[in-house]
Amino acid sequence: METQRQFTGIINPPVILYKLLFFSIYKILVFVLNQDYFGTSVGANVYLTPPDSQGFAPHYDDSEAFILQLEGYEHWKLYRPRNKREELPRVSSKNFNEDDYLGETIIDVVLGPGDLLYYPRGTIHQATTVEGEHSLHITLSTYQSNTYADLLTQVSC
Amino acid sequence: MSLGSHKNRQKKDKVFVKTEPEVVPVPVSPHTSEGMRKMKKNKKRKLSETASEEEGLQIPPTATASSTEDSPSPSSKVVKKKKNKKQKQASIAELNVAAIQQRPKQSVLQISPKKKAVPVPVVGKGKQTLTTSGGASKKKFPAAVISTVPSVRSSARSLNHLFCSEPIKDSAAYGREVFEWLIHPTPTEKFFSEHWEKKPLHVKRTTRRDYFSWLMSSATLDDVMRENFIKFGKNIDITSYTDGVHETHNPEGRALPAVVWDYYSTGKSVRFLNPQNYIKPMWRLNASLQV
Repeated sequence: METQRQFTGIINPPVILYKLLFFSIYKILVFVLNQDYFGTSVGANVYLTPPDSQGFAPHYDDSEAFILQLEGYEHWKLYRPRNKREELPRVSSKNFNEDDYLGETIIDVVLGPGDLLYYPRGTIHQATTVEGEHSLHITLSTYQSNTYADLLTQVSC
Repeated sequence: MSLGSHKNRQKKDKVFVKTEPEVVPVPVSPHTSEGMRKMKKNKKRKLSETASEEEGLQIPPTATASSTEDSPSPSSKVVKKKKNKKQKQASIAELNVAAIQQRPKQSVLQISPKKKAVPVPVVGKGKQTLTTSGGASKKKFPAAVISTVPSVRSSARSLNHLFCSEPIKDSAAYGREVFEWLIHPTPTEKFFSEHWEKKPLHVKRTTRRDYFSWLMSSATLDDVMRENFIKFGKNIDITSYTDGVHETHNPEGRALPAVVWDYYSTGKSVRFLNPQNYIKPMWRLNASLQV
């Protein structure tokens, strides 16, 4: 009687296995059926930078980025990935500093309100506000960890 | 055996606890659906309450969201609230009518006829200027208006669904439409063949400086910090990069606007994470791109 009772609770090996199986199937389905425009979730961050300053060190991200400039002006510099390994990377970079070689500059532009800037993951970027103008922009990011390798790591967890 | 009895006890405890929360105010978290609903309720209440008064700065930094939002108000306030509500509804209706009348003439994205200049955060000046800009934005740019304006036109096609609460029938097509609006005038095919995962794209809109202004402004950020429990390190980061050194200056606890603008005025950048959880147009944009 007592031994039977132990298998009716939450800790029930057959039920756990069955739940795990369904959970992994569910994960795959969520991943596959979640038909976004980008096929993945879209994240957003807002950046407000005071005039004549910089908030972040040059770095690259692991997701595709759309910069939506809302207010003010900001000077953006984008660099070509330095080598093959850094093209479309799966993890973000460390913060670089001025001594690091950032690569060849491919875009050097001042964004104004209404402007849009897109850059692929792996593009090293930095942005500075110009004198006398603050900047407010939204970064929409997508495609973060969206490869089949990432799917496998999700399922096995 | 022991396991079973222990479980039973837990169950009983749970049942006992469940009767309580009606009295105890539960802290609102935006991440659960229930939290969202609660937040919306609170927001509605707050909007009507704070339309005319600016009390945000007086909230002590140690106060929690639940304590500030659920504090009992005197009866005189309640009367005021009702009045405000009525006035608000009336003004919204007026705005709606005005928006409908204006619609056919406008080809550029515009939300309400009253909204002309987006309030700009003032640098180097005191907190007072910023609080006034926050208050002014409330009158100009109430959240309710955004959700009820029937039609807003972009360049060629309308983005109706962004603003009305009708269910979207073909979400994929709609997502495409919003994306086209985002990268306009670049054709989508060109974008995906030439730029996507290959090279950066810069769209310059010198003639349309208000293209994105319906999404939010720095004054919206001020409102969000006033009305929600925004936490340093979790929802907001204060950072700087000077002389090749990147630093994060997050203090502990709730991010009150005064504190944030203080950092801002000393040249620190503000990063606000996941604005779509707090700002409705942002949420609509995000949802439409990923649904």
